[in-house]
Amino acid sequence: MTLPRLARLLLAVAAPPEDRADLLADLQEEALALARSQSPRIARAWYRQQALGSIVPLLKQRAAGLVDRDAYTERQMTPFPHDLWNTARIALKQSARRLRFEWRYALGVVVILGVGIGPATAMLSIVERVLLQPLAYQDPDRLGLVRINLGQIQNSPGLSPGEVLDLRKTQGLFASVEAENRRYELTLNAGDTLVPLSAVSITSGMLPMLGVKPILGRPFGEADVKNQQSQPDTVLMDYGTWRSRFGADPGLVGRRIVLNGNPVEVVGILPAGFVLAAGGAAPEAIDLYLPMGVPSWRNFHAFPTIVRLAPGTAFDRVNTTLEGLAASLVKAYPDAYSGARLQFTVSPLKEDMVKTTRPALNAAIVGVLLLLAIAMVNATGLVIARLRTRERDFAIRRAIGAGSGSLVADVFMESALLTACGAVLGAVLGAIGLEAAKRLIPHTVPRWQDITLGGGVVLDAAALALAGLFSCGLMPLWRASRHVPWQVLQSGSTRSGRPDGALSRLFLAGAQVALTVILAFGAIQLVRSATRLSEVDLGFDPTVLTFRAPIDNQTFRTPAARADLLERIRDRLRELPGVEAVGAVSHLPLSGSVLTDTWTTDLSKQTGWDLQTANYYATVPGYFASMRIPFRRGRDFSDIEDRTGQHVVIVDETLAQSAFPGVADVTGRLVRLGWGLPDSRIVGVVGHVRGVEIAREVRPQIYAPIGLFTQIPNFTMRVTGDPTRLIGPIQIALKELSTGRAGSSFALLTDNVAAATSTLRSVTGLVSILAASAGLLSAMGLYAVIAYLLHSRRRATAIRSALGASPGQLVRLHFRSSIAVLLVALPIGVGLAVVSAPLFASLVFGVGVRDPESLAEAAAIAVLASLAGTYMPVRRAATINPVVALRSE
Amino acid sequence: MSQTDQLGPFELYVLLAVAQLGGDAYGIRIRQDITARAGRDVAIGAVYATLGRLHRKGLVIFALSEPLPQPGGRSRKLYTMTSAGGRALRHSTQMLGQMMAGLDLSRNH
Repeated sequence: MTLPRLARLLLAVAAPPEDRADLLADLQEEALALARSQSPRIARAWYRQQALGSIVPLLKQRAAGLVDRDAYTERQMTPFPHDLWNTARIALKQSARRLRFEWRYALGVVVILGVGIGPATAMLSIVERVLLQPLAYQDPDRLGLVRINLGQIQNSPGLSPGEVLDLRKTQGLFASVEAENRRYELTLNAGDTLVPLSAVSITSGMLPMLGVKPILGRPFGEADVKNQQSQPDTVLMDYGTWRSRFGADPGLVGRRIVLNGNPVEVVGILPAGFVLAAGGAAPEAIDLYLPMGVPSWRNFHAFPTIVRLAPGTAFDRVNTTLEGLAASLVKAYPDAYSGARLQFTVSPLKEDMVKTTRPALNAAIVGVLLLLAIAMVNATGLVIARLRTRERDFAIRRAIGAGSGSLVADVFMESALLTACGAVLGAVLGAIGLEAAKRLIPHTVPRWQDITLGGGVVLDAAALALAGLFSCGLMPLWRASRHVPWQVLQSGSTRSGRPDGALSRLFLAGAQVALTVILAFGAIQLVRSATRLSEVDLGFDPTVLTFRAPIDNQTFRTPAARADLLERIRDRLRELPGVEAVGAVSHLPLSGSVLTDTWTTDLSKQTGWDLQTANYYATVPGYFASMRIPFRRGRDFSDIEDRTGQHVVIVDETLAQSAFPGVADVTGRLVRLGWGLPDSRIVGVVGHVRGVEIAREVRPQIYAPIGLFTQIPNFTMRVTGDPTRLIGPIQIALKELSTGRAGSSFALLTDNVAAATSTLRSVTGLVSILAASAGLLSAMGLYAVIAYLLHSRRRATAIRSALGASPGQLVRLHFRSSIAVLLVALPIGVGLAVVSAPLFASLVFGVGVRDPESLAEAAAIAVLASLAGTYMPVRRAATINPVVALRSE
Repeated sequence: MSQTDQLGPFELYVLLAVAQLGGDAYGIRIRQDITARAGRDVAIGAVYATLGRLHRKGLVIFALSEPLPQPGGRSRKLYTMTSAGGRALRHSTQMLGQMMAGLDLSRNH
């Protein structure tokens, strides 16, 4: 039988040396006997239990012996805590008194630690929330999101309802399979105004699967799910919406509200903070949840599907089994899949959510940890220097009989006091930094606004710092205890040549230089990427005012009526002063929402999964002019085409080139779109717009008249002067044209552009601040080391100066140390920067991942920082007055 | 009365076990003895810690046994009670007896 190794190790550490062998042998003997008489498993459990029960009494016994062997037996009625507390209290008092006299040193260490701990805690708090606990669902690790690959659909979180039913039919894989549809909009009739509300339909098992219960009312049941044709007549409401729109009226439950003209009963209110994951980074709160059934059709893949794994299953096994399912589905439904490759993958929901934010967070974590490392190295350097000045003090105390226990307590208390102050400062800086970060990056990570500075994280960082300081503090202490006290006492106050410990301090300085290179490299790369990204030609001019105008679908039932209304609004807005152009579109570029459709120019083909996809936009004539999207060929839609819903389209140049390679003028040609629409004639070709991502072209674009489109359109207005002054007149104009209509969500399109670059910009800002702090800290570190070296060589310098060395010669002489540090540290720093470069890769845009120019600049920054740190003390030493220096001997 | 004479409950157990086991009291036997008599599984570490304390107070002494009859066999620390230990034990048990005199614990107190 083997004994539990960890338990044995703990016992060995805890037992007093004189009893260690006996104790372990005794225990082993009895455990073996027990294994023979009962079973090895019971014996091991017993051994662990014995070890656990033994550690506390043994440690108490040893601590009592350590603090004061004799005092313990005399005062055993008040055992060890009192003694330890007393020693600690005295050490604390003495440390505080000493540090008060040397407040400059104390302040230096505290500031350095605070600067290191602050950003680290802020960042780690974010990481803790975002990467480790992003979901407020029950048992979230068993939840998975299903993604599908099918022809042009790649890794999409949208299944067809038929496939949802297929997943439900599998045996033993899932405890539940629940679907939602993509977010859409409903219009709430609230008195004489129309309010757009976001909505999503969910299957009735969704909320129970997530472990979410309404705080008022009831969840959905099977009875709420109507057949596909009739509208649902029950709804669950978001907590925030209930508060803001209905004043948290508990009587709302059971009452009817009017949505898109239909009365719907509110059956329950969901708990505060609930958001529904939908296969993206940052699920937003949705106003209304409607019940949804699962029909059996398979031609529309738009239903994000969340599963809970059956007990005992793992994601690997599920994915392997689903391969078989996919193959059998393709065979069973040849029409639906037309031979395309079908694949389902289920990944943990949490992982799916943090996938997009992970690279940015990784980069930031590396940055803060490097900064923390630099701060620790720096503070440690200061602590070591200070303890060396106290060597005499220690030697005297030892000589008059101080035990090593009290000296250790002394060093520990001083370190602890400094770390505690550093941690408080760090917590304050961290809280400020976190608030700033929240404002900088509003929507890129889940539950962003809930993030608070974790107290545990501050403690962790402080413990780390304390461990570093203390272990470094022990080094000189160990040296002091090794020295026979009289040697230390005898040695003079200054020595010539290289003082003890200079090498280790130069090493610390070198480490800081290397870390500075890494951080500076990251910052330079990100600044360059941000600059390149801001120079990208978006294909449109984003300085337009946008707003949404809900339409009363009861009054304006036909497409023609809606198109006519939108045109009248457009014409009315054109008359407002300072308005240059007005249009409207279904989805704004860079808004995050987009509609895609398949297309082909091969008119013999029916729609299928091998067709290419394009972004599909419905527009009101005037849109292109208002956005300054240039026409390459042809023209905009006419109002007639818009109103009568004629089958005409405008395509972007990317689509024109790939559909008709080599054809100069593609107007008049036919394109077949998906959804069974008739073939459409191209009437114009416009420039490509970066509609989904700034950094790359995602899909070509197809524009159609808005007539057929029923959702709330976005108006785009190009105006001269301050656009916000028009908000009032716009509202008046909208109300004049029809009762009960008000614009909402007024914004500038430049905000979308800013939001699309916000992650990069905020990470850039963060890393730049870190790099600047690192440069400053490493300059300070070198300053401290060089000043210390020169101070100890003061006498030699003075003698040289007295013998006729010029200040220039002395400066050159003293710069040698710094140059030596740089020669070693720079290549190491550059090497590490090259190795760590892939961490930033996904954030870098338009520059090489290991751009040599950035590397050179980073190295230059580190050189400048270290030379700046060296210059001041060297200058002072070189202009030393030999008479003054030697007199002080 | 010196404070050395006052024994904690666990010290009392260990000292009693040492007395009970005569010349054959060593760590694991003491543990087993207490476990068997008191019906409570005690941690070996607590026994060793207490033996160390009793030893420092001069209530027990130990001698090393002959090596165990096996290759590399170790010597055991055999504990015996000193006369001071005997006094402390008597004192504590007497005190307990005096305190309990006249009490009938079988009644429902």
